[in-house]
Amino acid sequence: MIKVRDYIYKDILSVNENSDLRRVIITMKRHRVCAIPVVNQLGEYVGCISEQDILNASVPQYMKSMYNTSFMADIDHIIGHLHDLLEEKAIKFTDSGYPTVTPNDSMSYAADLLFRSKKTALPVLEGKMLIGLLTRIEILTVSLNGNKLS
Amino acid sequence: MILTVTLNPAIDKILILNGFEIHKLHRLDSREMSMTVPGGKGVNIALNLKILGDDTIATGFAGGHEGHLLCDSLRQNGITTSFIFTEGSTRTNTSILDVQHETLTEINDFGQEIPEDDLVFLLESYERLLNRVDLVVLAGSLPKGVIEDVYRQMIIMAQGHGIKVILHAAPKYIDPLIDSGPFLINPDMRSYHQFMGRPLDGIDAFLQAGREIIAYQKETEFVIFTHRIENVVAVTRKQSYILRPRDLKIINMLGYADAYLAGFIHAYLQNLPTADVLKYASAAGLTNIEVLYKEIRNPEQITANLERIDVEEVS
Repeated sequence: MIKVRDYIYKDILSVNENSDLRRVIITMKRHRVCAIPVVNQLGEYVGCISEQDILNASVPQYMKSMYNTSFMADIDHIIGHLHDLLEEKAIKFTDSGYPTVTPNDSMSYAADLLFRSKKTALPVLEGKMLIGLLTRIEILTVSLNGNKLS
Repeated sequence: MILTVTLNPAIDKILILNGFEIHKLHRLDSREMSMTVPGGKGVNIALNLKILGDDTIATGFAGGHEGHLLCDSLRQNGITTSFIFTEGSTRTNTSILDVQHETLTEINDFGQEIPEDDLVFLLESYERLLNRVDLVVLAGSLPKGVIEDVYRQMIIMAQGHGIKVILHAAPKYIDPLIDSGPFLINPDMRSYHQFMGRPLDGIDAFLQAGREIIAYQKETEFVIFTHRIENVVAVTRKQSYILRPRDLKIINMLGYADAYLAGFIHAYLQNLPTADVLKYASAAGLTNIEVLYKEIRNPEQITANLERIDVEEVS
C-alpha cells in the first residue's frame, strides 16, 4: 500500500489563530498556496483557511441571499467588505472541519478525500502536529512513479 | 529534531573552473562545473545533518523566485521547511573555485531588507517550533532591517523551553551575545581576526578567550575555534582540546565550518564522550574540505577519517 508518508510536501508554514487576515492573505500570496494551516500558540493544528473561505466571508450577508453574484451592482462591495475584515483574527475564517490525513493513511484514501472535498491540499498531521501537506500534484505524482494507488 | 535558523540565507552559485581570469569570457567545458544550490550557514548545516541521518527543520527568511528555489531544494533533500516569505528576494552568493590556481573568490550579496512585521511573524513561528525540537542552531549574518538583538531574543526563548542553542556567526554578532549563554559558541573568524573586542589568533589566544567565556558564563559548555583547520581549539568546562587532522589535502574550504558543526551535533546527540564528539566533528570538517562539494556526500568517509584526527588534551 502506498502511504501518505512517502509523498508529504514537507512545508509546515502556518499562521497563528491570532494572526490577522492581512497576514493570512500576504502569506498565501508570497508562498503561492491556496490554503494555509492555522495553529494555536503551542503549534497544535486547529484548522485551515482557503482562498474560498476568505471569499465566502467577504461577500456581504445581504448578497448571499441572492445566491447569484450577477445581481451585484459592483465588485467594490466585496472588496470593500474584505478590506474591513483585514484586521480580524484568522480563527474567524478558519475551517476547523477541513479534511486532514495522517502519514499512515493510504494515498488512495487521501486521493478520494481530496477529490470528494474538492480541496487543493490536505494538511498531514501526526497527533496534533502539522508535519506537511499533501497537494493534488503529490497524488498525480504517484502515477508517474509507475504505481497504482491501490 | 533539530531546528536551524538562517535569517539571511542564499542561493549559492558555485563555479568550479580551471584557470579563472578577470576580463575574460569563460565557457565551461566538461571538466568544469556550475552548481546552483541552497546556501547560508544554517541551511548548509541542515543539509549536512540530513545526510548524516538527522531530521531537521529549516527556518528563516526567504523571498521571491530564489526563495522558492531555496525551499524546494531543501525539501527535495528531505528537510522540512518553515521559512517566512518576505516581499524582497533571497540573495545569491557567487563562489568561483579555480582548481588550477587553487583560489577561491567569493561575492556575497547583502540580501533582502526585512520589515518589522515580518520579523514579528518569524518570532511567533519560532516560538511554536521550539515545542517540537531538541536543539537550535542560529547561524550566519543578519539581514538588513533586523535588529541586532534578535539572536539574543531567540537564545532566551530557546532557553525558556530548556533547549540548547548553538551559535555560529561572525564575531561582531557573537560579541554582544556572550552574556546570554549559548550552549556552544563558534565564531566565524575567516575574515575577522577580532573577537571579544581584541585581535585574536593562535592556539594560546584561543584557549585564553574560550576559558574567559566559560568562566564568565555558566550556561556555555563549548567555545570552539575552527577556522585554523590545522589546529582546531575547543574549550569545555572540564578541559580543553586541540584537534589536528593529519595529511590534509584541501580541495574546497567552502562549507567547512558548517560540516564541522553538523558533525558535532550528530555525535553530540548520540551522547558520545566529549573527546569523541570533537573528533567526529573534526573528521566531518576534514571530509568536507577534501571534496569539491560544499556539503558532505559520503558519511562513511567521516568514520574512515576519524583515525586521521590527533587529539591533544589540555588541562
